[in-house]
Amino acid sequence: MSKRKNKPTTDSRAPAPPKGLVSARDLHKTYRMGAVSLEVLRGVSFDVQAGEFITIYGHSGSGKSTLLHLLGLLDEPTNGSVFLEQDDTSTFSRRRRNAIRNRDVGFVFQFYYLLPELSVLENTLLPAMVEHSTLAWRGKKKELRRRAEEILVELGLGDRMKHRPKELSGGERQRTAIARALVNQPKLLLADEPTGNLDSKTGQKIIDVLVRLNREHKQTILMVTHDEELAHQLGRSLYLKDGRLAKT
Amino acid sequence: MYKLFLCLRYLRSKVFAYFGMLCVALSVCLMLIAVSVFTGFLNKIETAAKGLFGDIVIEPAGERGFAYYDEFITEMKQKIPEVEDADPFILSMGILSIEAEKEFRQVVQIAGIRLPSRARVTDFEQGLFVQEGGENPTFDVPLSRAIERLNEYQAFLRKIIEREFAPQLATMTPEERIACFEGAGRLYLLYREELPDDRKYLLDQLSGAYRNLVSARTRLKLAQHGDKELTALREELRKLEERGASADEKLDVEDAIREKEKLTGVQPARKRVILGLGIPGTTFRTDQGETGRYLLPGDNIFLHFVPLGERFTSVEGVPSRIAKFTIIDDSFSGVHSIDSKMVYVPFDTFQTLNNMGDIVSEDGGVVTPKRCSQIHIKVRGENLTEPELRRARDKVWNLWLEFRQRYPDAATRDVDIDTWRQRQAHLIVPLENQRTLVIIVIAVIWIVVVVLVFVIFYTIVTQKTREIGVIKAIGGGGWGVAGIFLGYGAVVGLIGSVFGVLGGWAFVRNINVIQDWVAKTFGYRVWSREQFMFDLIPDQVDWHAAIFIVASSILAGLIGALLPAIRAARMQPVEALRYE
Ligand SMILES: Nc1ncnc2c1ncn2[C@@H]1O[C@H](COP(=O)(O)OP(=O)(O)OP(=O)(O)O)[C@@H](O)[C@H]1O
Ligand SMILES: [Mg+2]
Repeated sequence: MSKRKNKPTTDSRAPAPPKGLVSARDLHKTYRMGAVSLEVLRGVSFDVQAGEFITIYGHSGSGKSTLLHLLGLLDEPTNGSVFLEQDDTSTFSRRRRNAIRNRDVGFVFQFYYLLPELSVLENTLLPAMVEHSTLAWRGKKKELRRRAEEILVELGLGDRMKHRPKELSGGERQRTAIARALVNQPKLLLADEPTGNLDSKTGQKIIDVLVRLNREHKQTILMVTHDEELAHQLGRSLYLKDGRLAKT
Repeated sequence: MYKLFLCLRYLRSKVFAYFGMLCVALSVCLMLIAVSVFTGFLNKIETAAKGLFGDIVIEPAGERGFAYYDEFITEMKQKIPEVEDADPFILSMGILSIEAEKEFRQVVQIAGIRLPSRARVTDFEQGLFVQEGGENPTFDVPLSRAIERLNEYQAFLRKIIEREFAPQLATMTPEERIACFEGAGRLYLLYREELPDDRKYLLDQLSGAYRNLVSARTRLKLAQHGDKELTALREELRKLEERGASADEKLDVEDAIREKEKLTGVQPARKRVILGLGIPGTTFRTDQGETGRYLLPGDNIFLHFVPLGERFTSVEGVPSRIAKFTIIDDSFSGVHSIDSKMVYVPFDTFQTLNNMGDIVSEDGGVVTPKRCSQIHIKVRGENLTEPELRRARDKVWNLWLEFRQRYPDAATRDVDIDTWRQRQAHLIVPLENQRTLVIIVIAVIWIVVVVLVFVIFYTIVTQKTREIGVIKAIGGGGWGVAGIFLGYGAVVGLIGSVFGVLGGWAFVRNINVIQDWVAKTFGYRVWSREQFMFDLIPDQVDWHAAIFIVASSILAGLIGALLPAIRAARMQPVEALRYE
């Protein structure tokens, strides 16, 4: 599937070797729609160390979501690479990318994206179900269920586990989505404007949850927001402008 | 793990899935009914044709018939190993009338048959009333057996009367009830006028049948008593004939026999017939589908017929021939065109009556030897294919060509030797064409099912695109996602076809009840006996076809789900998530 041609690295400004948990190196993303092409990312490079809480901010349409999708292996860059613990993911097979999405990365979306047919608990367990075959599931069911329940209790959803998503408030839905992202204990949690769809008070609670996860469980988090003020309050922040990271 | 889980969860909560199942179920049901009835119909023709006339039939053109048939049959059995047995047969037409009912007359086919040998060539022994289940049917049925059967039939009639007229019987005293079953006359007198018209009609039928039964049985009982004397007289006559006694010498004995016979009214074995069960006016049907008989073993009938070479009406003082026979049994083959027309008469009797016996010249030499109209052949083995039968038929044909050299006057005209399929080609060929048509229709239905399932799944996959994105985003592989929808399709096909088969099975098994109900409620009979030859619509499910239909329906579900599933599998997670 990978149609991109890696740029020759004989460039005098050769990129620094990747270090840390996740590294973006010279990421480019161009959308082509017929004759028109839109260059959204034009060479983004940075490293994420384990335990960091990084926020990415920028204007609407600046490519924040695009960048996060590339880091979470939901999409492939036109150019450049995402490194996971120094390994170039562009060389990975489809299968391995699936496994990484399943186990190493947790994703929280602005619009929650819960499965309406499943209960809160089942939604939370979904990545675990994807991970295990039917046979393995039988053996581990109890343990995984307990883990999911623990996470849900911690996120304040202890009495909502049997509910369907449509019976929940926006904040509860987003917390369910966070629980789902955490159930396989990922190394990296990616959150794309997790508060974008919530009122400020509820949004603040979600942020609190993420901050607590980062402090108490050393969860590495990469969060997209367009709230510059918020970005500055939390750990390191990156400013995305004109397809590149700009100095803040 | 998630594939099965999601597949089941989607099934449970999607009305669409039920639509899919319903449409699969309906089409499976429809296909199964159509195929079963068709196959059943073709099978019935085969069974009927072979059961009635054997595997191969020899028939000379014209009415003169086939002479030296016994010689030819013996040679066939000796020289052709495939020929298991063969039997001569005479067919002509006549009119049936009865003693008691002056106005009754029916055109019938008179068949001269040999018993019990006919049972070895055809299925004649099946469907007999008195000799039910007997291996060796005969015209010389012990009268005690016939009386026994009539007693059973009386119980059967009584049960119907008790069922149909329970309220009226309940108001009777025990004596009245006994009197009622002595002839159903009491019931008739006491309650007839109070009944609505259709009940009145049923009562008339039942009491008529009941009275007939009593008189037929009385006749048989009388004959049974007189039997010993009659047997003695007949024995005497036989001895006289052996001795070559003159007509004068025999006269006394013959008179005595005739007197006795008139007394009892029951004819000797050579003057007895087996009646087709279904000759118009001789039977009736209850609402429950039971067949009642007006004419019973023990009843006498007249057969009017025109022997070969004579005229129908009595011109210039030559009367058309009438002969009196006693019914001794009846025969039900299930083929309406046969059961509604046939009267079976002993071969030798009918041969003589029909002028097909030896024709002797003045000086006693045989001018024309005795003849039959057809020879029916049973080929060794069961479920023989047409090519196998053709091979046997060709051997018979070759033997015939050779036989004809030695017996030039065996047949004066061309002789046809055909397998049952060749003889029924006029029925089978159009049916097979129709079957092709039905298969085409079924193929179209099948395509419709595929398209419907496809549309349903395409809609579902489209609706679920974003969820597919989610599943992929959390690590679900392309085939995993496709698997959900393929499994979904297979389950829709499977459950749908299970219900379809159940529905089709229930329908086919009860197809005759359903038709009776439709006929009664809407006054419209889809399956007319006259048109389709058979009394009943085939009601056996064609399980081979059922397996095939179920398999192809599941396949239809899979194919219908395949494209949408592939579409789902190939999407990039982001594409799916962005989908509006
Ligand atoms: N599949 C696509 N095809 C074409 N253009 C796209 C596609 N996905 C994104 N874009 C374009 O790329 C640009 C960046 O989109 P992106 O969603 O990354 O922005 P964003 O920074 O997340 O904005 P927001 O803050 O509104 O969420 C936008 O102009 C968008 O129109
Ligand atoms: Mg965005």
